[in-house]
Amino acid sequence: MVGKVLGFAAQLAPWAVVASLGYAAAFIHPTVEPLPLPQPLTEPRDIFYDVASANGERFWFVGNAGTVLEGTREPQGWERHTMPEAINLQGVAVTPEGTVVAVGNEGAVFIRRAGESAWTSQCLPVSERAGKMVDAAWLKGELWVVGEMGAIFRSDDGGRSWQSLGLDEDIGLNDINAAPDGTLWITAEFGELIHSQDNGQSWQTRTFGSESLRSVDFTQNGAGVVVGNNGTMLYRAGSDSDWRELDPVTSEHLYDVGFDGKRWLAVGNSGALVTSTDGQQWQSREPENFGSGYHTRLQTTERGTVIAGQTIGLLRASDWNTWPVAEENQ
Amino acid sequence: MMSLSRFAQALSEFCIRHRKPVTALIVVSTIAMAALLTRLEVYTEFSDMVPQGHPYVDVHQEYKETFGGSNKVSIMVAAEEGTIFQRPILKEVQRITQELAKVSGVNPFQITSLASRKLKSVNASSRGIESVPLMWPDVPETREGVDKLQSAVLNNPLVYGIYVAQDQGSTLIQVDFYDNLVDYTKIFPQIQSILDASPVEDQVEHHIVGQPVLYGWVNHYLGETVNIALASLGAMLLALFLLNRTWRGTLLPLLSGVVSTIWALGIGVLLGFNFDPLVIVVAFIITARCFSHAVQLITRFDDLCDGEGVQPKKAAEQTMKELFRPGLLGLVSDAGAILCVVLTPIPLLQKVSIIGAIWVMTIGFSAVILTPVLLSWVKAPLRNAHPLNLRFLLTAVLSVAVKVVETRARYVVLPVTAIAVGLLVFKATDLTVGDATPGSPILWEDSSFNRDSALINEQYPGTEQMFIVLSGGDDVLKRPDVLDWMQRFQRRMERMPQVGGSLSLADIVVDVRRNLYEGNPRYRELGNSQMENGELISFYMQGAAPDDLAQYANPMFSDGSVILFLQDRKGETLRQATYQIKRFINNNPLDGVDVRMAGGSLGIIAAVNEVLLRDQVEAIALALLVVILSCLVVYRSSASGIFFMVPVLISNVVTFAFMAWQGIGMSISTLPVVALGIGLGVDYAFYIVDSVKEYLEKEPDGDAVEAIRQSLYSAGRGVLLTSVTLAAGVLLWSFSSLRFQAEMGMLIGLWLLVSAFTSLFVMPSLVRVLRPKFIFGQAPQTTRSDDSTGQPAPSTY
Repeated sequence: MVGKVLGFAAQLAPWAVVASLGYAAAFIHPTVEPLPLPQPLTEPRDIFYDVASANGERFWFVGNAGTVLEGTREPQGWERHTMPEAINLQGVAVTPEGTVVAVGNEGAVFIRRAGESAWTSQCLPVSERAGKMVDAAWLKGELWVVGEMGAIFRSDDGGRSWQSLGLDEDIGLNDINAAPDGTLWITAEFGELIHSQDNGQSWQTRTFGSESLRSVDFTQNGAGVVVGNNGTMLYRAGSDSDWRELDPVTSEHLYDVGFDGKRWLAVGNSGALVTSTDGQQWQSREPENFGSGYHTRLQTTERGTVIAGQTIGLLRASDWNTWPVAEENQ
Repeated sequence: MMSLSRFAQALSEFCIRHRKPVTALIVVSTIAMAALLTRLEVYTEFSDMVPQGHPYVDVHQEYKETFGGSNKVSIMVAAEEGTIFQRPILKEVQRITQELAKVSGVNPFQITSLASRKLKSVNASSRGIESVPLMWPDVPETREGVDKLQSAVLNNPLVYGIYVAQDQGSTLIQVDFYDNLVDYTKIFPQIQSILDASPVEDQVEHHIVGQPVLYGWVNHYLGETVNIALASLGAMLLALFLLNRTWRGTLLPLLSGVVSTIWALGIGVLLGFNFDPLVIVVAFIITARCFSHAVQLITRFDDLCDGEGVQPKKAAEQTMKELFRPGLLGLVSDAGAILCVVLTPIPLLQKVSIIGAIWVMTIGFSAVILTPVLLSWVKAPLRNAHPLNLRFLLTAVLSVAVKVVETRARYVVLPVTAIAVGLLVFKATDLTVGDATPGSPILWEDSSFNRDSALINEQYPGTEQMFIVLSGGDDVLKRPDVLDWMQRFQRRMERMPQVGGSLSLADIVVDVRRNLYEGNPRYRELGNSQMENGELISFYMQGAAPDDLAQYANPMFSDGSVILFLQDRKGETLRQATYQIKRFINNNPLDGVDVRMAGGSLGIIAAVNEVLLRDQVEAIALALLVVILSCLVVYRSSASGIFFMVPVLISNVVTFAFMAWQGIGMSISTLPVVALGIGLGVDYAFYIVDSVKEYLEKEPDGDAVEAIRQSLYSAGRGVLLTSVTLAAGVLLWSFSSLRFQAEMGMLIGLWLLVSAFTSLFVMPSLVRVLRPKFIFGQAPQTTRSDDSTGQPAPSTY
């Protein structure tokens, strides 16, 4: 009996094998077991436009596609935030208590209150034609935002409400800063340097050539430097001194300037990095691995200058460290 | 069964009786076929490797002339010191770019380098906008000009990092060829001669990769391949001569192989087939089968003449008659298995399949008929050609095999084999479809090609490209949502570690817009409307040739590409990439736009892999079906099918495990070998088992153990002789400069040895333990056992 059953099974077995394989060939379609594609901390197409910090220890970088990167000097603890809308973020400011305000195209404002983890979004009343908000700053206890079409907004309640102080003209405003004497200074297109001595109620404009001016910064004693396209530089010795043009040290566009307490630094296109101890005599620097891409913003701190652009990192003396450091942080 | 035996008898009698006309007929046919060999063409035809009817291939064929073909060559020109921004090096780039236009089959519109018109700088300022070639038509004459060029490159994200390395130490020249004009035998030498003619060879290094270069290397090693094949053949003949000790045992297998080869290649010429150098491995396997059949015949002939004192003419006739059945069974199985590959819609595999099946069947004439016919002229008594007797080595191994069957060890064979196979199955599941290593599996990892490939992949986004196509109405590519889709798609795909970068029309639009806004990176974004994007594209096209955007969009902007650069072409990389592409396309539908994948060299390879993945189970199923049907016809028993699946299973599992262990992927090159392996795995078993059956048919009251012993010492000797001899021969392939051939040599050697081992040590035990009915017939057999424990056992099936 067993022999017969085995014999019968043996007769059937080869057909069963072939039938099984035939069924597999005909009806079972190979599938791919997808590997996880986790969100990395940074993506190859990330570009950062601005950096801000309240205490010089925790930094906020904003960039394209609604990307906000939060991190410290340490390799650990970096975090990537993605805004609900993939809008290019151009500027960021942080209040002393830790509220983060990111601004971008189409008048977009994203705010994360101190101690909270959620981001809220709002839209500033900007021109439909050109509504890019380029810079956000915390100045004299208020939040300031400037951008295209002469847009200037001020908030004295941490970004809950905004007051428009715009110039009502078609001009791109690039940077806003405050001098030690309280005067607000804005760099703008077409060589225009705009200032206000009444906290934005009225604005006066001076024109220096035709190249766009990109950024302005001051020392504690009121000495100031303005940088702009094609290496344009303006300098004033103090609050009482007038601005004067310096001989360009580079032909590259310079996008930001800052004073770290000891020296002036300016960054721009094609890896341009220029420094000066007195604000008048500038030298080009080429830190190792600094890269040849563009850098749009710098944030001076007591322990070096944090720079944002195609790459982000920390410049201490002439040593450049690209951030974030390690892949294991991702 | 009787009819086949009668046919074998009639054929044997006829052939031996009319041996002169039969021989003359074969000789004349061989000479006629040999004359055809003057028309044999040895080259690799690219279109042969493209799967027909696959959607990726359709996309590729439709857009290959513009969005990038599969025969792109990348030449990296690296400065020995400093950056490439030195006039002599830039002049070298210009020289190579200009010379490439003269290479055979080149698509002159697809030569891209710093010195070509395609790479442009878009400059805008308060004074206006201009789009000018970076370094065309002339190299800058002054240091200032070179510095300006350097600055323009560094500010151009479509050039810097893609055509000029991040460290500025090298630049890439890319050239594509018309698929229908590609001649791999010409392209590589012509490009190599351009590079060799460098006037600044002390200042630059050249590195070169691409499909035509790869196959150029294969052609380059053609001479070496032939030498190794001849050396391998020589080694096998020497081994045969030493072990067989006769000239007939040496020369007749050679003669069979030569006749078979001439016939097969001649028929190939008549069918209009070319001979692909990579297929030489398949040719070698079939020749090995031919040797094997001839050796079996000679061994049996010697046994009859020497052992049983039969006259040579009669012995030849009896040999042919006795071995006709297993020989035919083996040939039909081999031919059927390789013929199953014809269903795979890849022309190269179809050609290999057809010519392989024909080649195998020619063995029926060259070995099964010609060898006994020629043996019939051997003079008795038989004499040895040399005094060195090494047969004791074979006898020693065969004695062990006999011992296994005779003792209780036979009961252990099946479970041990089952456990071993079970363990190897785990390893075999790691077998990869597609390439398993980053570089080309055809060449060694430290080969010039693979080193160049690794270097270029390290410094650039990737040497291998795949493109997807977006198509809709006119100007659809200017729509902000379409360009935004491209950017999001690129961003998503670049998250894959194997994707080094990507390019699309969107990258150009954002770059133009940035330049329009004084180079301000904050404006590196798409226009807000279709009109604005159209204007940005128009700016780029000012002063440009119509084909300058051809890589990204057609002139009507209705069809566009997103080009992905991948770091390797491993099967797993391509499967993951295509999965992610499909997923993104499905999750992000675009209104009015059809998104199709995937063209380019990697699109083709992905299509090949998908076809192989889909069809390999089908091919194996059909090959097994052939084995079963052959057994059914010959033995009138489907159970014999499952019996002969054992050696097939063992040899396949062992081989797949070996492939997984060695990182050999299942590819267009290995599939025919695998298909042939199925036939290869069962051939030896046919001879052993059929010899047992033959013995029992002649002596119905004979002892099973004696039948197996006779079989092992006769057919088993032939199996051992051929497997050892052929394995020794194929081992020489391991010295090949072509990794593929070396690995296939090892693979075949392993296959031969595993098949022989299975036939000698596993199958006899199975025969004795299971006592299959198709061998032993209906009546229970009484067995005499040397181990005194053997009990009469009924036949089970």
